[in-house]
Amino acid sequence: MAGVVTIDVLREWLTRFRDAVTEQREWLTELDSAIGDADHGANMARGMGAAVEKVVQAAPEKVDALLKTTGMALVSSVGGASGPLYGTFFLRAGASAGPVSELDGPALAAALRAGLGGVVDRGKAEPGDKTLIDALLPAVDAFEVGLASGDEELAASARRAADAAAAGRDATLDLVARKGRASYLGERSVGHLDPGAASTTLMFETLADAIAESGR
Amino acid sequence: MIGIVAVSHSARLAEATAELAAQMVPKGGVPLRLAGGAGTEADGTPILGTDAMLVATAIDELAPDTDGVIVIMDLGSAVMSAEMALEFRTSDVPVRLVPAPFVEGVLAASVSAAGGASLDAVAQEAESALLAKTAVLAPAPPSAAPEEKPNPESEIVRRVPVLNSLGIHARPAALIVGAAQGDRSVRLRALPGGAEASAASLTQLLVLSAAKGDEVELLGPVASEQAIDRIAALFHDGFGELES
Repeated sequence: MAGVVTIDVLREWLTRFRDAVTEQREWLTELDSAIGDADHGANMARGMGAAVEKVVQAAPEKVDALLKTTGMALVSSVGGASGPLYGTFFLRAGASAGPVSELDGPALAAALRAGLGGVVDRGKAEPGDKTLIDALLPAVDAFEVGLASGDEELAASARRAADAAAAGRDATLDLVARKGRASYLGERSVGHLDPGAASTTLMFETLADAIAESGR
Repeated sequence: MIGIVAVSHSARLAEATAELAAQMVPKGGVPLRLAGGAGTEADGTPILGTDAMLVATAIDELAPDTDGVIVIMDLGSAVMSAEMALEFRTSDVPVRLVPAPFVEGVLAASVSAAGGASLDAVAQEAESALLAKTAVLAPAPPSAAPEEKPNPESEIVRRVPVLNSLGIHARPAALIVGAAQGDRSVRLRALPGGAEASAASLTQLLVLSAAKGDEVELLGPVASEQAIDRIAALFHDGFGELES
């Protein structure tokens, strides 16, 4: 058995993700100011701030409730397109996880895959469009590959996912934006990282950190 | 009646659009709900953005008193938020998300809904709301299609003068839609040789571009005589815009 992720670890993940987007707020906004409307940092910090606050208030005991609470808070408080996108990610992941208090590797993989499916449905973006999908898709793939190849600890698969997200994020530098406000820039969007791919990478890095921390 | 939800990144833009629309429909007008902005920052600064829950709530508020709701949104995340709202709403009245230009769409939909049009017709009006602007800035070449001659046996044809100084602009057009009461078989034609416009369609009426001094032909089946009378009366009254 390669371990499980308890609801406490997931809660820790959400807190760390909030802290990361809050700390990186200026950087995310700077990325967004190059190709968007310069509010991604503020939006994500506000959204995850509201989400963690709701989670603390509601104190859900099951994974589906935890992730649903997070998703609903994001939908209502982000403002920009990342609200419906990240909101759908957490809502679908929660629905996949169900009323349990911990997830094993395959269950976590299924939840992440379901979340990815939700983002694809919502945003109708494809890989290569220079969106958060370019980090999210390789991260979910890498997590599954890690599990299949027998990573000894879940944390190792989560780390693979984070690394894949970062590589996907960096690859958005050379892409032409085809979705969202950045698409108005066309070729001029080349040479800038996609802010959504950057925040998604933070999401996977903090997941890997939270899981690694729990194993110590 | 059909209700309208206007979704904008800016609460102020939504309010201003509602204000413009209110000029076009009679008092009490049309069930219109706004879902503008994404709340406020801690210091009270309005947040530019959209909130799917706000959209869902607006739809649910309209649902009990309407036969359907159309949602018109501005740009970007407004579309995604409106789509998400369909998953969150608890009412089951039919809802249509309409790819209309925001300001023109809300105006056209308001006039059409106030005239008692169906969900399809209101959506259609909103969607073609750019026609008036297109007709002015990029007019289509005159159609080569032969003109349909009304059959004098079954059609009423009446000529009325355009008396008001600004011609058939948006407000008179909205009054005509109101007087038509959803009767799409009544048509108007600017003489000589203009294309026909349905009296129930604000966007088509604006394309008439009838000015002061023009004559307009009102056409319709005998069954629509009352609607034609009401519209003729508006013309003779100069749409309430005559200098006294």
